[in-house]
Amino acid sequence: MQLKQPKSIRRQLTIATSSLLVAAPLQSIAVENSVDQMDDITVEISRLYYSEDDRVTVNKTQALITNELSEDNRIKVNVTYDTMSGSSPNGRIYTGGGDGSGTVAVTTASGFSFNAANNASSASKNTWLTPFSDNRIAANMEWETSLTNFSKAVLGGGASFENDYESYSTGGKLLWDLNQRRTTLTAGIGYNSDTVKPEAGVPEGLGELWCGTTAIDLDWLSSCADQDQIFYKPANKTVVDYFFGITQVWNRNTLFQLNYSQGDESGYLTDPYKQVSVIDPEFGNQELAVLYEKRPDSRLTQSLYFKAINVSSENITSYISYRYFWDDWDIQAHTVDAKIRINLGTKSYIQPHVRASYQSAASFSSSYISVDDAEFVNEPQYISADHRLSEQGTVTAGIKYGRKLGKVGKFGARVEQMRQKYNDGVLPDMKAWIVNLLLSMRF
Amino acid sequence: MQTKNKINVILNFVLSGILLVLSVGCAYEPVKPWHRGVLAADSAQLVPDALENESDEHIYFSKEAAKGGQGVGGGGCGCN
Repeated sequence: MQLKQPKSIRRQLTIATSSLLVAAPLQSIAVENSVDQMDDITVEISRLYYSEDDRVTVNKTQALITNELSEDNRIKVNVTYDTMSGSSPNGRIYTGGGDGSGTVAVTTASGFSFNAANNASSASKNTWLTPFSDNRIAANMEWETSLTNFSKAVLGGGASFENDYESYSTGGKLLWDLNQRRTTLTAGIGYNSDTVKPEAGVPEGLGELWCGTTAIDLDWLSSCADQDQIFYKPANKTVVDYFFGITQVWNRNTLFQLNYSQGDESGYLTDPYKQVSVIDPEFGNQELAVLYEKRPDSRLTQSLYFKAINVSSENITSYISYRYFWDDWDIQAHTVDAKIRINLGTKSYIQPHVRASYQSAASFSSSYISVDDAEFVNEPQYISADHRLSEQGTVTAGIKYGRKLGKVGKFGARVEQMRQKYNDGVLPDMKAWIVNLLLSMRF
Repeated sequence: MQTKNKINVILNFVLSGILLVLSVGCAYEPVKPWHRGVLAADSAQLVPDALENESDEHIYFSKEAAKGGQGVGGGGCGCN
């Protein structure tokens, strides 16, 4: 005999309560939500196209299935498939250099080789870019269960695979409702174990990828002769994340969230594909050699994240967040994100979005090694010319259109443009388009 | 320092917007559970669209040094 109908009872109670207690203009929103939350299975699909001008293109397909097993149990399964291709800045100076002699074949993630001194089709102009092509498949599962009337637990795990990268993760969090559910405290922990495995192994940090024929006026590089290319087996890193948060219902229309996060990274944190040029400024920044980058083997990251949601009227909901991030590599970053959802009647909405961020450079970030620079008289302990560790700013702006499809579906489409500017005065700015289609159906 | 100045101007502008939003809707009120219909709507959830949020996290994780803030985990890619 089938006794299962708890969701129906809950649905009816919620709808009845909402109808009785919510002010009339807001009634439709509350009823819509009560229906949204009560169905058994929700399937969401996302197709995202990300394209940088002349650089990276990513096609991302995601499916998220949420199954309400019972009133107190919910399972989510998320599957992602990415295809990535194009060219990515590798850290070498933008002005190019290298005459094609003394070249070294470097194997990228996709398994095809390029010439270290002349790695693109247009002569030596694009030595600062590394072509690549890769696929990524990832799956995550999450189980949410009530512990008491005022607390619940979420446990999850996942795995991600690329040709040259594997990642396994697990984690969990606890949520407590207090203060007549006006306050929710959250504490979480996550663990990631990643392996990077370029086809040729990971290179020795600061090892020479390519050396020209011109003598280098640095003692520690004077014997530069392509002899330091010692490749090791795949390398590992682990990340342990801690997370504490508080969510507060401030009044009938406003909700706040404040989170503190800490990440403890250890192991191989260097990017095996990133390089740094050795240049001579007295000869027009001629590239004398190319070295592999090297980063510390530990990193402690911290962040404070604040978010506010305000429903100022029946038709306008605002979301604004600010994140302050800092780490022991001397990087500090400020990120602000703002969205406003404007309902167009009862079935559709538009949502403008702006995001801006600024970050300072890591202590070992340098666009190149100049033979004239006193800083490099001795071999640096660490160095990276990766623009992601340099001083940079990113601004994104776009708009989303969303629409309900009958009583069980939702559709969304957004277009955004991202611009990234680097403060080294060398690397060209980056512009990218983001196009995202979203579909959600309940069964 | 041109980039830094421009970004700082933008950040100051947006932070001013945060303060404005907070000042408009900031009066604390001990709301009873049955008065939260408007905040219970899907559109007022902390993460209204999980897949959109996850896609953005992935993009910015691969383009910036900062990451996270909304929870644990993330990353899990070589991210050129």
